[in-house]
Amino acid sequence: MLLEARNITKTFGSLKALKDVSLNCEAGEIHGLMGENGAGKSTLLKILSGVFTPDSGEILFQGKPVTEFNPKSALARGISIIYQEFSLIPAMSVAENIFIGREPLGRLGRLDRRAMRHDTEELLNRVGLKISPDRTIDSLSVAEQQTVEIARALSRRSDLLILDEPTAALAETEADKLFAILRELRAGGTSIVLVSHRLYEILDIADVVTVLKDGQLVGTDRASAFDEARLISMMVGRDLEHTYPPKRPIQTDKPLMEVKNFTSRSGAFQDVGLKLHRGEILGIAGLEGHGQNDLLRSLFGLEPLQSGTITINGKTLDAPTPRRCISEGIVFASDDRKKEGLILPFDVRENITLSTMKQRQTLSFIHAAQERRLAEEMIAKLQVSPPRTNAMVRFLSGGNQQKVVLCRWLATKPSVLMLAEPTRGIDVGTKIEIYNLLRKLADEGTGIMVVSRDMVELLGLSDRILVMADGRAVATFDGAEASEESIMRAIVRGHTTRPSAHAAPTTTQ
Amino acid sequence: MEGKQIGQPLDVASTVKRFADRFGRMGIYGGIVVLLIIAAIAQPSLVGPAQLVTIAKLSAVLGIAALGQTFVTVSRGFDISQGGVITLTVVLANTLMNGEAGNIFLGVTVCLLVSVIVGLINGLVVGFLKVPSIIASLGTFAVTTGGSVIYSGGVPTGSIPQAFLFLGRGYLGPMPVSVIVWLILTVVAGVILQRTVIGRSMFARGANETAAFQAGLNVLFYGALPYVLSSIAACIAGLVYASYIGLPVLSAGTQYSLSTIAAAVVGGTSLAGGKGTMVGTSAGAFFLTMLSALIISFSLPEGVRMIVTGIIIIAAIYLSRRDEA
Repeated sequence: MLLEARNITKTFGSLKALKDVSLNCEAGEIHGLMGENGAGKSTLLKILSGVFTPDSGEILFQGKPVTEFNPKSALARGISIIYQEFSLIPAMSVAENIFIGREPLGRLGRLDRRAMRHDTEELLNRVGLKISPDRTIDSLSVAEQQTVEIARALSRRSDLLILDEPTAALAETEADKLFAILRELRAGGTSIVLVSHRLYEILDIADVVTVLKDGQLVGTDRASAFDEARLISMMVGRDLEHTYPPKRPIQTDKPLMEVKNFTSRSGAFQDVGLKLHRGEILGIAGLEGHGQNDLLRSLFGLEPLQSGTITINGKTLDAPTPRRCISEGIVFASDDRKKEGLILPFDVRENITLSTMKQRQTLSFIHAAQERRLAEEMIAKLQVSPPRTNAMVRFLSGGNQQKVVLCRWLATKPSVLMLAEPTRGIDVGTKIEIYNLLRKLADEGTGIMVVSRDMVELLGLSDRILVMADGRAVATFDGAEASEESIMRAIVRGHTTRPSAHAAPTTTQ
Repeated sequence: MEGKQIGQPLDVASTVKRFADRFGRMGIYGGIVVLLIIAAIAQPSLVGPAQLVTIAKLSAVLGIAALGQTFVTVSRGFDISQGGVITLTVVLANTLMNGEAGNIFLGVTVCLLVSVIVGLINGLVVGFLKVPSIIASLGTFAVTTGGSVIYSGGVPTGSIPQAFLFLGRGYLGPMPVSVIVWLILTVVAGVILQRTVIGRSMFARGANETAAFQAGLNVLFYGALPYVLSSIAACIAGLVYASYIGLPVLSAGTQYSLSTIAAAVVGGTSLAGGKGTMVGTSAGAFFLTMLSALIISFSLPEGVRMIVTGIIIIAAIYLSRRDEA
């Protein structure tokens, strides 16, 4: 056995990221690691690669217990990790990147460039990459950069190679090439731990599959013992944790807002269309980074569009900006309250009235009494604590900061409220308050769109769920039909039929 | 924290820190009181009512320009070009007015127009081209200073008409006109900053441009406006300066570019944007002028004044940072 991780537990503050998780990997094995967002995959990978130290449990590598947890000693032991974000230096050459920190030295301690180039060429040959060692990293495609990362890992004589979602940014042919390299490495005796959200990929390449859920081990088995249905049910099986307000039937004859042909310039999503009705909460589901958040941001004019139109109140917006959206009644609460929502040196009143102060002014002079009254009214409505207009927002809890952002948007009396991760970093009590508030707003006629990585939250909250995969809207479910299984299945099918057209439009289908 | 000191070697750094914190909480007004006490003990002749009015009069040019600088500081920028605008205003006002009362309107109008253009250039270069404000305004500082030299051919001519000298030299009762103008402008600028949509928007954009943009504010407009206001303030300061001196000089503004930033910062404006008051800035200008007067009264060389001012600026920035943490 090359790697034996036994009963690993890791907590961050009050959050148990991993609980009693074990993972074994033989020499020359490709081990697939699966789970939903937040299942603990990344934490486990970071423990294996020495970034985190486990609270308890032990790790044996090549039969010897691991006592030191830092990236350097993990590398020395023969464990290399390749993250989704590469660690290559863009302005340096391929050869320089591969040998960074351990450049071959010639006589008098001079850099031996010839040896470096020669060794690099050999490594590039092994991974089947036909490029010059002198090319700079920023001139390479994402797939080529990833292959350089693998070459670098090989040059360090890695016995265990860890890849965190290596195909997330690759086109299908590129992914196939990568898998060919991985198979070759396996034949040479290297072990590989691979994380991917794409079930068919894992079932195709892995020898053994381990599934995590909420920081716990759900199961480990030969890949041949799994099919997609079994994997999905293992990944999602859990009960609803919170109580959600009851839903009412929605009038769907006339849409409140209609979005057509939305395509982002960055390629984050393509050709998305949707309808939002009065009083409806529309959840947008998908695995992390598949265009859901980008879609909301683009609807609010925060990211550039290739094409697309929004129709609301009989008007058509084709180049949305926050100002235009707000004046048409479309508002967006970003997932990063501190960076994109609040003005931290301002007090609660100034934050709440920021988007509506123009309605309470004469010749630019703000009507102080009216402003205070509005702030007091909103604070009472959303039960912001402390209930003081002059409290500094930076001293409020995350939940109350989120309420202040919502106060600001509700003061504009929006017809469409869009929220990204509305309950991130918020305690359970406040979460439920926010769920109730959103339902109340919907009952009053507001159309609401929510992106959340918490599938349970989306299911509990939404009247309808739009599923996105690889930047496309792949399915829509009515509240009754939606379940974690049906959503997962739609995501997987979305991947299978249109694999990974993340950066470039698909030409074949 | 306090108890830890016992039985341990004296921790100089933390002692200094604690003293600085205590001093910092008193703010600029505490600073002025400390200066007055030092002056009252060491140079009693400096603290009579007449002397304080004189110091206020000497502060007016710096104070007026610093009000404009505060708009820029609040929006997280620097306006180095203020000194250049002051120089250019002094040269232009002398040449255009050329000693005749009938030319006052022309002179003032042209100076204001030129300053608005300089401010717009600063604002647009910073807003559209994303050039750091300190670099952009250093560029316009050089352009305005160089422009003054070329316009005047190296030897500025003309003079300020008698009627206009009232602004820099006149008195209304016991108060110099320049100080009255300064106080009125402090109130006006303060009202703009604290009570209007314009001021609130500049504050918000300075503290968090992304959030201000997402809240629907016109961040380009409110990003450029502070530079225009700053330039206008520098122009008014230049007019006061010109009517105080009465003769054309080419080096009028050089000293002001940094000291207006100093006055704003010492007066409690945060370099991180989003925080500051006009009254604080005016107090900062008075404080710095008072400090100079005190140092000069000790017959210390000019270099000492610069060193002390520098240390005080650094200390003020340190204290404003701590406040935010």
